[in-house]
Amino acid sequence: MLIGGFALAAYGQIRATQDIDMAIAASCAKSAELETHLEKSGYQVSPKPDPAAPVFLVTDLKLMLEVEMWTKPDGVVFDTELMCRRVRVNPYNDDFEMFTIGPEDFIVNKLARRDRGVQDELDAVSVLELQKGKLDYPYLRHRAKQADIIELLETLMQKSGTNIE
Amino acid sequence: MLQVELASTILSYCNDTDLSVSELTRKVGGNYENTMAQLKELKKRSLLLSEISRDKSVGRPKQLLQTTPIGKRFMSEYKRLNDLSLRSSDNDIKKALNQAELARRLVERGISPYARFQEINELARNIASTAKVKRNTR
Repeated sequence: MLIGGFALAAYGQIRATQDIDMAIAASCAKSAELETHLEKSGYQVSPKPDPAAPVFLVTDLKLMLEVEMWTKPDGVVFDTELMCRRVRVNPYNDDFEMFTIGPEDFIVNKLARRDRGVQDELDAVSVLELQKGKLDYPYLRHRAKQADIIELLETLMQKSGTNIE
Repeated sequence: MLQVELASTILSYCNDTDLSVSELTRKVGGNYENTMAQLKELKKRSLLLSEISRDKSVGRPKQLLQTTPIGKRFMSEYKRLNDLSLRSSDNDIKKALNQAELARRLVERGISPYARFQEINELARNIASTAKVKRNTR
């Protein structure tokens, strides 16, 4: 499923982003299978999927397009609840469909990032604002607690006036 | 050695009005010896000047401290630089460098970063419009 800047477009605002972030719920063996498949199709996979690493990089060398494949996205727990909250999107406006992370999990993922920067916080606020009143707040807080970012979330909600119980 | 923050505080007090050494140390507070050492340093660098007051006819003449024009310049430069402090974290800078590197590689391959931006923007717009429909029917 899509996470990161492209997922933001589904809930918040459209902003310029140069790479694609995907989260995949794949075991180590499945990741290795995917790597072989991708390399056979002409993509560069570097660094290789590593059970200890949360992400590996896939590059389309012709188009020079980078896709970050997250096997352990920060703050994201691959469970039934998360899967049910995904949203289907059609990036090419045709029959091709793919999933985007749900808005609450999007916010938690952005705030839990180890390399979190100003832009990640702004992205989270943008979803909090544009989805104000529509989010599942108990679920959002539950996930934020799990990811140990509840104080950060509450502060951002307070500061942005999007604090709903 | 000059402690810039303390130096700026001292210069600012002595710029508002001429102060005696005891008045200044009271205002600054903190460690007396440290303040005195900074006063000495500021005088040595001609950022602060002391003049003997002849106002009183009796008692010991008072030593009054004054910020010099160079001291005033120091204060304004310090304020300007203090206001210029970086707001970006190391992560933000790292991300900007990565993005710049990607743009450089696109150009090397003969792909216009602007054309890429338009393509990506179109994908994002499609995601935005189709996700809206799905959300309403969820």
